[in-house]
Amino acid sequence: MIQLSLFELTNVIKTKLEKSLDPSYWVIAEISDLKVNAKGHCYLELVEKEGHFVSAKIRANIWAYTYRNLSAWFESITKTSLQPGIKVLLNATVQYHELYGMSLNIKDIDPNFTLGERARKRQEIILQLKEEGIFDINRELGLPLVPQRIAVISSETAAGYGDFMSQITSNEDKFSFKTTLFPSLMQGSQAPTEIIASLLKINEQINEFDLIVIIRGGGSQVDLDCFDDYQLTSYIAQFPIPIITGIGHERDETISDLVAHTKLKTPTAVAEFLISGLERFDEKLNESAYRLERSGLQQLQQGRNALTAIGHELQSSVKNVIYIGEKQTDAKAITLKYAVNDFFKSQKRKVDNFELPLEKAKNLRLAEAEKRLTHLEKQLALIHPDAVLRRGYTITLHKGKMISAHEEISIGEEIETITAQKRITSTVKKTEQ
Amino acid sequence: MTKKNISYKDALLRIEEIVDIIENQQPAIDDLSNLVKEASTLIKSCKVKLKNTEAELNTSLENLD
Repeated sequence: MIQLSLFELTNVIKTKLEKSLDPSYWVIAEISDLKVNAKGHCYLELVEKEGHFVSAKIRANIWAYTYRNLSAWFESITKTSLQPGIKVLLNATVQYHELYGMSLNIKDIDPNFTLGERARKRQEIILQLKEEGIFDINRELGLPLVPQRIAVISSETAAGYGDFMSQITSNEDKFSFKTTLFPSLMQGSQAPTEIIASLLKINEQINEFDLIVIIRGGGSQVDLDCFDDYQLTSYIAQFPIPIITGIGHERDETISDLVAHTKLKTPTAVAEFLISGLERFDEKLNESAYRLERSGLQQLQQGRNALTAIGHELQSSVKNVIYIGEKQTDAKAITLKYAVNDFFKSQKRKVDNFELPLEKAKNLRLAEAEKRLTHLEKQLALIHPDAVLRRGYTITLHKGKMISAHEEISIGEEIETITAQKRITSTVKKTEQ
Repeated sequence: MTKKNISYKDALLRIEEIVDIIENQQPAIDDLSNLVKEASTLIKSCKVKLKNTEAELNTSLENLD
C-alpha cells in the first residue's frame, strides 16, 4: 500500500487537474460576495442558483493588475460595478492550490453578457409592471398648475441636492417654493428600501405636497441598478402625486425614470423645470393682465367713441330741428307779413270805397240842409212877430205873456197891446164868450 | 377668506373668463370696471402667492398646530 503525504496527494490532484482540464473556461455565474484587499487583489464567491437554492459555489480571484483593468472596463460598459447580485460571463482558469484548495482565477469578464442579462431583467420588470396595469399611473397624472410644495427625496450630503436647492431658492423671479427633504440612501442595495420608506412618509401627509422629486447626482455614474428595483418602481408607478426624477446619469433611463411622471437628467434640470412651470404661469398672468388692460382700454375707447358719435348725432339732429323750426318760422313770418299787408290793403280799399260815397253823401246832405235852412229862414222870417206886427197885426199880453184862447181874464185887469210902433195898455171892461 | 384661498386653477379660469368677456362679449361699461378690478385682484393675489408662499404656508402650518 502506497502511502502519500497530504501534500503529495494534493499535488497529485493538482497535476491530474492540470492535465485533464482545458487552460480556461467561459463560465456563467452570479457573484455572491466580493472583496478587494489592500493590495488590490479581488476575492469573490461565485454561485449558481436555482430559485433560492444554491446548486454550485466556488471561490474565485482576480489579481490586482487584471482587476484594475477589468473592473474599469466593466463599469464603463455596464455603468455598474462588479458587485454581489449580478450575473457575469467570465473567463477563468481552474486552479488548485495545495493549501487553499479549488478556486477560479478570473482572466476576463464579458460586460456585454451582464448588459444583456440586465436588459432582460429590466424588460421582465417593465413587462410585469405593465401586466399589473400600474406602469402608466404616475405618468398619466396631471401636473399641478403651480407646484410649489415639493417633497424632495435625496441624500442630504449629495452634491445634486445642493445644486437643486441653490437653484430653486435663488431663482431670478423670486418664486417661492417650499421644499421638504426626506433623506434616503441613493445608491446601493439599501437604497430602494429607504426610498420606499420616504415615499410612505410622504404618503402620510400627501395633502401637504404638490409633487415629489427624486434626485441624486454628483456621485458616481454607476450603481444605478437600485432604480431598476421592482419594489421601488412599483411604488413610484402607483404614487398618487407626480414624481419627477433627476437621478443624474448618462446611460439609458432606469425603470424609475420610465414610470415617473417626468424624467430629467440632473437635479439642476429638475429645478429649472419647476421654475419654468411657475414662469409659464406667471407669464400667463402677465398676458392676461396685458389683454385685460388692452381690451379694457379698447372697450373704454369704444364707449367714448360711441358717446362722441351719439353726441355728434344729437348735435346735428338738434341743429336740424332748429333749422327746420327756423325755416318754418321764417315762412310763417313771411306769410304773416303778406297776410297783414293784404289785410291792410284790403281794409284800406274798403275804407277808400266807403269814404267816397260818404263824402258825396255828406256834400249832398249839406246842400240839402242849406237849402232847408234857407227855406226855414224865410219861413221863420214870415212868421216872426215883427213881420206880423209890420203887416198891421197886434199882440196882446196878459201879465207879460201872450193871451191864449182859453185864458181867463177878469174885468179890471190890465192887458198890454203891442203894435209895430207902440205899446198900449188897456183895462178890461167886458169879456164875452 | 374664501376669496383669498381661491386656488390658482380657479383664479386662472376666472381671469381667463373675464378676459374673454371683455375681449369678445362687449360688456357694459359699468360692468367693465368691476370685471377689470376683479381680474386685477386675482392676478395680484396669484402673484403674491407665487412669490410669498413660504410665509403663507408657515402661517397656515401654524394654524394646524
